Amino acid sequence: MSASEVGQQIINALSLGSTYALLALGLALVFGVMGLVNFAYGELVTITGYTMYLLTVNGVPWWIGVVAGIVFATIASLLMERFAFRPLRNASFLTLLFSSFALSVIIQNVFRAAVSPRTKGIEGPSLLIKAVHLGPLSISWLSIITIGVGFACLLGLTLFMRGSLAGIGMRAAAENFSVARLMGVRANRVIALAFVISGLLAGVAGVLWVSRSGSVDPGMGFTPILKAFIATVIGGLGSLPGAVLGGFMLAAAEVFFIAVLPTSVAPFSDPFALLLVIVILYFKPNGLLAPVAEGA
Amino acid sequence: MNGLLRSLYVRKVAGTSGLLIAVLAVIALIGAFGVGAGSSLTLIIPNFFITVIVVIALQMFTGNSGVVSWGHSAFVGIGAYVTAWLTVPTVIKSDVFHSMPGWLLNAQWSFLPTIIVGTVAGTIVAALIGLVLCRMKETAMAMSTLALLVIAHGVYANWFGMTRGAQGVYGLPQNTTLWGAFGFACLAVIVGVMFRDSRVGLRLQASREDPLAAEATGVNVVRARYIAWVASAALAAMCGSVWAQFNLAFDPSQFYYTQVFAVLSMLVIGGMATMSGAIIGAGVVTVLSQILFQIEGGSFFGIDVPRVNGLQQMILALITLLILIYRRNGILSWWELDEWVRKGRLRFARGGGPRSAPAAGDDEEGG
Amino acid sequence: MAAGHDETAATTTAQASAPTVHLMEALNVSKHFRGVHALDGVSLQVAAGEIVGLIGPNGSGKTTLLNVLSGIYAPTSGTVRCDGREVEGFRPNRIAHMGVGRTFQNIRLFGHLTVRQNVEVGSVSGHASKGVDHRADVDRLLSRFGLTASADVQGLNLPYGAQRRVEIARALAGRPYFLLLDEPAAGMNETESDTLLETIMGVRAEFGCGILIVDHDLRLIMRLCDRVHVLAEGKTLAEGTPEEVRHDPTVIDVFLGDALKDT
Repeated sequence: MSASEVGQQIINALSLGSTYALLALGLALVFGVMGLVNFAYGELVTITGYTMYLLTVNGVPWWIGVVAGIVFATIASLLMERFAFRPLRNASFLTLLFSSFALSVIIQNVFRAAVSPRTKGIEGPSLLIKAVHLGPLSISWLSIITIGVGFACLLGLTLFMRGSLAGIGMRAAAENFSVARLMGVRANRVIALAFVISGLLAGVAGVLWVSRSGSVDPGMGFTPILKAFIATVIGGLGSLPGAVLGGFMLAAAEVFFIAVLPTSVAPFSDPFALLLVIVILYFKPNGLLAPVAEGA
Repeated sequence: MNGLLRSLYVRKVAGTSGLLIAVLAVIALIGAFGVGAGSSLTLIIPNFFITVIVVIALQMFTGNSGVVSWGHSAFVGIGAYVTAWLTVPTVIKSDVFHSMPGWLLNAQWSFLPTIIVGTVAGTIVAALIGLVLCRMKETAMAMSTLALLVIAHGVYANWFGMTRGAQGVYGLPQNTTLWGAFGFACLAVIVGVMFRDSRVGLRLQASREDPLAAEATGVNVVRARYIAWVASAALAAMCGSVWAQFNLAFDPSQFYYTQVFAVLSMLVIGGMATMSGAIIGAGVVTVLSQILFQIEGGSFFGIDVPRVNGLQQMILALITLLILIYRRNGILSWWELDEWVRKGRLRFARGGGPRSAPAAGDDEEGG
Repeated sequence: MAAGHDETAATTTAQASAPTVHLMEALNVSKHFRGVHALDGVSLQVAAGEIVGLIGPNGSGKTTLLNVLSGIYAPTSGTVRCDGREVEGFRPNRIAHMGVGRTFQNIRLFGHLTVRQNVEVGSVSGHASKGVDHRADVDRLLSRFGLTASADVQGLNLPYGAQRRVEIARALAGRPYFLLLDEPAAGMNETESDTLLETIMGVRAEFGCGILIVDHDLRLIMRLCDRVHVLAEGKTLAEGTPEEVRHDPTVIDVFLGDALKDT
């Protein structure tokens, strides 16, 4: 590969990685404060997408669709917490997982029933497809915005988590929930905050996702959650920075896998990534970057 | 095992499975002679029996070990595809399977041998995969079965030469009959009950309750899980084989998370700790599905109803979620059907509940 | 205990021929967790037929030592021997098969299994599981601990005291040479712990196990045990008969005298 091709792939990886990192972070956040791998998380992306679709199809400007999409994803996330997961607060990990699965099936089918079982196209502003030329590299505005937005979100979140009382409380809870509670961090508030933030992240990631794919369909939530799940396993289920790193690592692996290997093998990239997940889980049940469990 | 113990075991197994087989037999007779809802019963009831096989397989593993498996559909798929390889008529085989080697193209097997081969194939794959998965901790293993689901689906959807990819397989002969499906369902019941009431089954259930205490009591948790994993995979593969020879055509989406979730829901609704729960769950979901399917199609027993796409899945998922919130152990909770019957009789005799602790006076202070 | 040592040395290898005196030992065991020294060079022995008490303030490493002995933790350094065989690093179920049974600080029953099933697991998975009439064993144990009437009740539906008994019965079902009890008297009043005392002495008399009991109830420990081992901050503070330990000034220091005077 020539230098410019490598450069191109790096841009691709950064762009894809930003989206994955946001998704992984949202998933890891909820896992950290509640011990729940939320399978309905991908549906927040679906909600964002369909909000954008329904608005733009009825003539509403795209930007309003974007904002509405993010807002609705955040609200939906809060509603999920309040009505589906709070009653199950003390259930086992697998019960929670299974319930979130049930919830995701429900949401998918709501869209199937209320809108259409078929894929629908969304047209974003033509700006996104246009490319900027930097020497031999040709970078689409979408990639630039994705990387920019992604990093801005990560930066903003880091400042929030380090600088604000609420953020610090949530970080503490994400690292060690029982200790945090003992120190006075209020459970309901922290969990609700985590869901709000992860909803925001899903909303933003959803906008980026839909802008890239140009379409929505009822089952579109499965791929985002799958990617987020793989990324968090790589990075370590309890680690927030790990989730972000996992997102970028997964994107890098995918981009180079597809670039380097013959096209006939390309559809096997997801299965292959998951094979790696199994191997990682075998040796490090808490994820690649998580500290090794002591004792037992 | 000495004589008394063996006969106690046999009696317990016979008691539980006998009642369940009787229930299944009644359903089979309805299918054979019932007039009911027209010809749709000839499809619904055999499919119900086939579903029972896979739900029991899942109960054997997940119900007894407490580890949710999303990956058993992989084994159902193996059973189905291997069956297709062996039974699709040679005439059309090369149209369906583009990369099939000559000796397979000419293969034309009959019902029972195909099922045996399909089952063995699934069992071998499971035995290999289990060596890795069963050594993991509970949640890691559950997550890995999810990975297995996606991997298997990826293989089925993309190995075009041998599976025809997303377009799916067709042309299988209808070898499975109502009574054939019934027979295999009964076999599954017996195997499932035998496992649950055996020593391995007991040890596995102990590991479900408290893996640490189980190990400290001498249970080899990894080994118990492995045995259940392989045995349940065998049943799942058998199911796939029987199913393929009834439905005659299928595609990879039938082995993906939608179907997996439907089967898991049956376990949750009926109660995953027992065989009876598995079967009742399968029954409830089947009946509900049919009703909802009618409504989805626009008519509720003749009355016009607005068409709602995806209603079936939605309602079933909702019910599953509600059960998880309000009756976590499912309809039957922890007891088999015959145990409920016996406790019911006891309740009338004594005036106490089926699961209550004895009254203060009963329990002598141990010395 | 010197005699016990020599005998064990002579009978180290043979699994088939049971050693004359069963001996369980921790030799210079240390256990570190990320910089915390839970145990530091602790040595302790339990021989079949004797009751050894393990006491110490909270955080002194008592439960950690029990976990090392039963295989839940591997020691950072040091040896654990069961009948002369080195077992540190063995998985808990392997150690259980060598004849070690235990109970837990927070009762760990198989909640949804019945009382009978709980004990049965111990019987079929334990040390002597071949050629044994399990049903008779289980029945006998249930009767011995007054659990026959609640045999078909699910573990989690039992009152606390009964749950304790089930746990002990389950540990004994495997016919262990050694029984490790982790705070069996927790949450009991005087009458109940008196009963427990008789139960444990009865167990020693009937089953001949070596018993290692961890507890905070000093009254119980002093009346029950042949020897007492005192831990503080992961190290052995003192060891000896109850009388010796009771009058040891370092021990009195740690336990604020009064508590010991009452026993």
